[in-house]
Amino acid sequence: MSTKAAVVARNEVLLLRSEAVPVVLYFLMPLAILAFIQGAFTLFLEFAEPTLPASGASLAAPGQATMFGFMSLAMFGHFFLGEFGWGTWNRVRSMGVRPHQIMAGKMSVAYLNQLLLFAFVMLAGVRLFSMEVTGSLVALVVIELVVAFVVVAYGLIACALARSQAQYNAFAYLGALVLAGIGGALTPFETLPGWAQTIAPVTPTYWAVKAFEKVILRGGSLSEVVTELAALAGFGIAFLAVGVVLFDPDKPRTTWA
Amino acid sequence: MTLEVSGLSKAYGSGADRIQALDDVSFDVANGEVVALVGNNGAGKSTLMSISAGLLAADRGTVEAQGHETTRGGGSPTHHLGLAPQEEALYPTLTVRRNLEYFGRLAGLPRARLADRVETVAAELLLGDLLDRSARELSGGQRRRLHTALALMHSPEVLLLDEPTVGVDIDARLQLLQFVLDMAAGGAAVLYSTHQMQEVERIASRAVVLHHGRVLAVGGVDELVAAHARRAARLRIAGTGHQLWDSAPDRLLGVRETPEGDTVLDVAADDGHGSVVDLVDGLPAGMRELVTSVELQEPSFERAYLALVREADGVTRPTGTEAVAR
Repeated sequence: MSTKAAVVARNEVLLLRSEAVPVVLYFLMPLAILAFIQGAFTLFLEFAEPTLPASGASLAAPGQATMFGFMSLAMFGHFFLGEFGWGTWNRVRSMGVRPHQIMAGKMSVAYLNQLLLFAFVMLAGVRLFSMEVTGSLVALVVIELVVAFVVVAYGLIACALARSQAQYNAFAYLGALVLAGIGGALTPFETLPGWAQTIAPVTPTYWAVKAFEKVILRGGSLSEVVTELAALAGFGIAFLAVGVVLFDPDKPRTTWA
Repeated sequence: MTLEVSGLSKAYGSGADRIQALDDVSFDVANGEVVALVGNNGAGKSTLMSISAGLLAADRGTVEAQGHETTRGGGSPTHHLGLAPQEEALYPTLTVRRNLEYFGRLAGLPRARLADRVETVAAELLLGDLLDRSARELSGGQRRRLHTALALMHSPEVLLLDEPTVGVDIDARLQLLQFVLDMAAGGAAVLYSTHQMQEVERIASRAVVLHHGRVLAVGGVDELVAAHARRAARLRIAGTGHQLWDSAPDRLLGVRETPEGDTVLDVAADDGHGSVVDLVDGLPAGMRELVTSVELQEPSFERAYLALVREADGVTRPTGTEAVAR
């Protein structure tokens, strides 16, 4: 990352700190949801996979972390569109900072935020909901590194398309709920209707949940999730490419209007 | 020259909606000089500032700051330039200190100098006691000062200030104007856009008059005043709706009706126009008795500006509702 992008990233951290409450809520919400749904997931596992002595949280937590990863993009969008509302987007550019450097700084912080959110939900799942990771921890980390990349690249598309915070949020929540729902992050994949199961592979969440499930529930190693990782990386690269192509730094944008 | 604008043109829209924002604009600003950029709303001042800062691409022409071309659009590649745009631009949720530090870091100020520079700029713009206050807690004038301070963090050699005193109280305005003069005295080239003609006379050595995207005049402020402004007598006449005399239309510089129900006439009172007594005597019958005050007004930049604009618009005499110089 260039020096200027690093300076932008540092400022992005300060901006996040200045609005700490919503940031913290995005960390806590998946735990609250987990408390409600882990019983249902446990029942599902006892019925569908009686040989797996796992807590429902092991199945639900990664999906929730992924879903709230998409939802937390709202903060990324808030500070991106905020630059336009505050007039700082062009002002920063007048300091010789290129749009791609601004976005690189902002996306790197969004990426770190994704990793922290996932780590927090996983740790809380282990501590509070008897979750167990039966497979490779390295594989788990690598999967999340790629999943976080996919989520942030999706956020770039939202930044490229949205003219206002309302549009951005609609896009981020659409990603969170539709992709999470169809991909099996919201409910167990096997309980989805047939049509949803058919189209699920065209969503990155399907591959993410599948990879997490292999590692957390079934003792999978890194080599056993190569296909899922490749699919996820493909989504990430495609999202990034679309975002870069669509991104117009001079497009008029506002915060809430 | 530190800032050199050459043949700059820019249009927005196309066909019938096409607006020529800038049309072959050329001028320069030297080191140590404050050049005022004046013009009505829509004259092209902010477009010129944006192009100069590399934020907007020009259709034709170039702008060079310290020899670096800034007219490519998509962000200026130079650190030599500081811009305080017309619209306030700062981070409201961050403190004054964090805002200043950020722009200092973006300009590449080394860490060792950053803290000192923050203190210096804050003190010079009367923000020293507000460093740890969130920008959104500042008053409008304080925010405007912070907005300007952000452009000064890296001591730029070329400073573009777009109406920096809007909403600033009198004390802070004087302080800010002095600071601009100090920047120029330190060697900076300052392009200062304003609607405040008194500010032009106070700080600028030269002025560029923009009108509908074209340069009407470039020159020393004193020279422009000498060439285009006329000495005037301001007559206040009780009542409104008077039939103005037609005997010497070229003498009538402006007419305004006041909220109090009076009519204010600005009439040329240069050498060769006779005395003020002659002027009052020359008023139409019935109006002479209604004159409540006569005030002589020396030529000013504001008068020069109005004369230039009026001439460019082909207005030979002002209409009854035209605002005139106060």
